[in-house]
Amino acid sequence: MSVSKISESFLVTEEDFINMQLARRCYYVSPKRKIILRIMGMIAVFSGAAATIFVKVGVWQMFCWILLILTGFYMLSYYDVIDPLMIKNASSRFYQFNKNAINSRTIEFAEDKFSVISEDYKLELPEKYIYCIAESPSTIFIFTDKSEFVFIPRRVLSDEKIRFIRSFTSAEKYKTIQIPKEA
Amino acid sequence: MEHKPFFSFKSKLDISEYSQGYKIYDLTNGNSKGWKWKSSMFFFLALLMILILSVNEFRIERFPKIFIIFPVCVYLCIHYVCILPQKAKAEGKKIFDTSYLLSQESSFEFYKEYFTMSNQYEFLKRYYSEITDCIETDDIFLLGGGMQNAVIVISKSCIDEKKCSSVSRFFQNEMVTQYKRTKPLKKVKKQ
Repeated sequence: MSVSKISESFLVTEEDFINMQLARRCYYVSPKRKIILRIMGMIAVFSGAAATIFVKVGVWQMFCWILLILTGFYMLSYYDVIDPLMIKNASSRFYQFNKNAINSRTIEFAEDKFSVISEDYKLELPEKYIYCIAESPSTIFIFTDKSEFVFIPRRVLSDEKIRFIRSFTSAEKYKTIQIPKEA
Repeated sequence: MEHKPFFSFKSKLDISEYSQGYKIYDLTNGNSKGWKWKSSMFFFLALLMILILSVNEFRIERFPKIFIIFPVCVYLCIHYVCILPQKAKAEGKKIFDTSYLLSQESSFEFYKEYFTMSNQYEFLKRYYSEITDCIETDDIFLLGGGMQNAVIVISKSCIDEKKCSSVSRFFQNEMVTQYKRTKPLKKVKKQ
């Protein structure tokens, strides 16, 4: 049975919000930046380890080399462990602080129009003005421009409706977000 | 019974106004937040390097690491003071270019506890308690905060001067802690 229109109402949970922030971070951080930081981290770890093992140094210099090794490990693990952890904590705090302001919303995809209806926000945008649609394992983003977006947790959509959303806009406007770890 | 708004007006943004607003929001509450203390830290570090050298009669061979640390500190100080604001402004321009909604003429209505923004495609209702920053410059009002449309820029060019003053006073009264006026660049002639 093919889908010609989608209308879904949902309330954003804390888990949805955390997953959205993690996916958003992965969308905005370029793979090049991650690679550069990891390479710098490896250089810091190896040079610190080599200096500690092969160079005869005093206590103060030893301390500096160990600090360099720890900095290297920090840089290596930043985007995979540290940043997701910080985002989860910050998002959880933000959600708890603002949960009274978070209302349920209804999202509709119909023909060539995309709509959002909630108590304090309404949007009705033709498909041609959508900037892009991005999909992560847990969240679908509909960007109205480079920074503003509306998101739908994937848990509220069936596979058929997800396929409909994928075909809603042109292939060049559709992106996939890779995430290393999720809540 | 629907209350009447205190005042209402229409506003249409251009790219320079939005990019100015976005830059201010980014430096105040966005990704570039904290630029002041970071640039100050590197500035004082650079100053410390100079002090150490001056005490040692500028003999760089005694402190070769300063040769690396000093230019890094100077670069980072320049980065936070000059380069970062320019990047934020450029990002604001890119966002405006990719958005169809931002260039629409919008109607604003201000009520006792909230304001509304509406145009052909969008309607937003925001309570003043959700606003984290209310910044006024010579050309724009910037309202930052909220989960959707976190950066709302209102152009002053479409509002007459008398109404502008009323809006400014209203913001100062309703958002006492959030309101801030940047130093006016244009000197107003006293009559």
